[in-house]
Amino acid sequence: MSDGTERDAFVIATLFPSILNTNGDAANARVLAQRARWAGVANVSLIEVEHAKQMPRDVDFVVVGACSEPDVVRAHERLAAVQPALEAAGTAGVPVLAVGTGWYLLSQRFLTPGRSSEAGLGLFSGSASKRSQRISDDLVVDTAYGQLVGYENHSTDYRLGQGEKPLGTVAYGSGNGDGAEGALTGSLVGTHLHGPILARNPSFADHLLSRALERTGRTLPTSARAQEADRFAANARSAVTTALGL
Amino acid sequence: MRYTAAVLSGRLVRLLARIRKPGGGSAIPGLVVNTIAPGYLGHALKSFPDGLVMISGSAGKSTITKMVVAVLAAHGVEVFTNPSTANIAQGLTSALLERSDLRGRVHQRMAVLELDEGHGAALVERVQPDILLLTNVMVDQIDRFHDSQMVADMLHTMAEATGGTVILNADDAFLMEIAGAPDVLAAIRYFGVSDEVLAANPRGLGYTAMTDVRLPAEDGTLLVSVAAREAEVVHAGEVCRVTLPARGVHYAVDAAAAIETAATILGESFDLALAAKTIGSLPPVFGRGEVVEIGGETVEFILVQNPASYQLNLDSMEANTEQVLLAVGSDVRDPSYLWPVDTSGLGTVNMVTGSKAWDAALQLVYDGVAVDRVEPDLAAGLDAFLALPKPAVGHKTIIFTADAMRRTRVHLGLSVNKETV
Repeated sequence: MSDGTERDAFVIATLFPSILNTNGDAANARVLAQRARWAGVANVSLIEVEHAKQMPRDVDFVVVGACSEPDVVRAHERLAAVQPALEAAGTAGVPVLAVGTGWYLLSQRFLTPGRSSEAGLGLFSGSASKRSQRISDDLVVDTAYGQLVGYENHSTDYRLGQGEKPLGTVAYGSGNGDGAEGALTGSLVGTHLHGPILARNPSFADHLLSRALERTGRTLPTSARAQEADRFAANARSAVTTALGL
Repeated sequence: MRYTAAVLSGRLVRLLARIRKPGGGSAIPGLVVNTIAPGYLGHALKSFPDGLVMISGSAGKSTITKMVVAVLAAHGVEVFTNPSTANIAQGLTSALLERSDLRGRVHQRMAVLELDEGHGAALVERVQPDILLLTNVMVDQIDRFHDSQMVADMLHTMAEATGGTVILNADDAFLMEIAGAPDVLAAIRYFGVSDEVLAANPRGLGYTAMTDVRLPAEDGTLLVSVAAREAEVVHAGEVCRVTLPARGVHYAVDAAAAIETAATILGESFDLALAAKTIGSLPPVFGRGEVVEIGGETVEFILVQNPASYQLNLDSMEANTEQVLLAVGSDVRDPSYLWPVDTSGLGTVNMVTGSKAWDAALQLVYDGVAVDRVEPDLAAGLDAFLALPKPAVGHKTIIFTADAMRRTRVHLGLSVNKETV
C-alpha cells in the first residue's frame, strides 16, 4: 500500500489528539487498539494524525475527540483538511466515533467560542445549537448495545438531521436535549459521552470493532484477556447507576 | 467599630460550631460574617499597611505560599497567611476572624494569601493585591473550570487589578500573554526553567501550553538543574543550591517561584542563601512526597490533584517502587481525568481503592499495568495494603486524590488540617 501499511494491518487513526483530547477522548483509540490486540487481531496500528498528510489511506477506524471551546476554530481548519479522507471512510463503511465538539464540527452547524453558529463539515446531517446552561454530570443512555454509562460536559443541544437516528435514549442526564442522545448515520457515531466511553462500555466497543473488522472479511475473536478489564468496567458502571438509583 | 458586631457574631458561631463538632465547622463563621457584613473581608484585607500578596494559579499554590511565608519569617517579617484549605472567601474570612481584634483588624503588617483562581478573580473586585504570583495554567478540575482559557482569563483579571508587581511563570504560554497585555499596568518579573531542565522532562512540565523559548537567566529566577531532592537556581547572577520538600521538578519550579516572590517582597534586604536554607528545612507539605511511619514501616504519600500532577508524580517516582496503592475518591466525579495519563511505568499496583476504584483500575489495565486487587472501601483497602509484607527494596507508596487523602489520614489517625475534615 502506498502509505506503507500491510493490507492485513488493522489501522486505527485518532485525529489531532494534541487538540482533540480535552477529556481523554483520544483514549478511545488506545482502548480499541488494546482490545484488538487482546483478541489476537494481527498488526494493530494506532496512528495519531497531527497533520493532514499523516492520514492513512487504508484506515479501519477513526476516532475524533473533543476540543476546548477556544480551539474550535483551529480544530475546524484541521478537520477540513482531512474532509475527503473522512468522507471516503464514511462511504466505505469505516466506523467513525466523534465526541463532543469533534462531533459538532462534523455536523451541519457548530458554535464558535463567541457562541455564533457556523457551517460545519456536514458529514452528519444534524446541527449543534446553544443550550442555556452548561451541564456537567453523569450521562446514562439506553442503546441497542446495552446501557452506556459515561459523563457529559457541554452547553450544546443537538437536533438530529434527515436520515439520522439517535444512539439511544437518555436514562439519566441531558444528551441531545430532547430525550435522545447522539447521532448514528451510516458508520458514523456522534455522542456527548466524553472520555474513555469505550473502556467503560466494552459491549459498544466490541460492536464497533466487529463492524470495522467485518468490512474487510475478518471477525473479532473472543478474548480472555479482556475479561478482567470488562469486569472492572461492569463494576465502574454499576457504581454510577447504583448511586443514581437506576 | 463598624465590624465589631460582625466579628463577635463570627466568634460566637465558631464557638457553637466547635461545641457541636470539635475541630470542625471552621468555614461556617466566615459564611455567617460574609452574609451579615459583606464588606468585612475587603475591609480586613485592606488593613495590612505593608501590603497584600496573592498567590494563584492551577498548581503549586500551597507549596509556594508556605515557602514564601517561611522565607519572610526567616528575614524577620511575620505575615498573615491562610491555611491552604481556606483559599476561598468563607475560609479566608474564618481565618481572618481567628486572628483579628474586635475592630476586625489583624496585627500583622502584611498578608500573603493563597487563592483559588475563581475566588481570586472575584476577590480582586473588592481588594487589589500589591504583588501577585501566578503559578501556571493546567487542565484542572475539568468539571468546574471546563477549559484552560477560562482559568487564564480569571488569572488575567487578577493581574489587571494588581498595583505593584506581577510575577509570572515564563514557561507558561497562557501566563505570558498577560506580560504583553495593555491592561496590565504592574511591573512584571519572572521565574522559569532552563533548556537543560526542560530537556530532562520530555513530557513537559504539565502546563496546558509551553512557551517556545526559555527565560534568560538575567531576567528572573531560573531553575538550572534538578536531581532527586536537590535543585540549583540562579537569581540575580547568584547560583544557589536548594533542598526540596519532595522529589520532583514541580517542587523545584515552586522553589524558584518562591525565591522570586520573596525577593520582590523584601527588595534590598533579601538574602538568597538564607532563603535557600529556609526552603531546605521545610517539612514536606501534606501528602506531597510526605514520608510517614505506620506500624514501624515507612510509607510515602503522593497527592495527585489533576492529570498533569498525576503524570509528573508518576514520572518522579523511584523506578524500583514495588508496592503501590492507588486511592481515587469521590472528588474525581468524572473519571476522564485519569485517561490522559500514561501509567504504564507503574508495572504493578497492589491495591486500587476509593469510591472511584473500579474506574481507576480500568484505566490501569488498559495501560498494561497489573492490578492485584480492587477494594472500593478505602479503610479495608488501606488495611489490606498495609498488612502486606515489607517490600524487599524501597517502601510502600500510597498515591491518592485529595478526598482519598483526607479519608486516609483520618483512618490512620494522622494529623489532618482542621478545615479539611
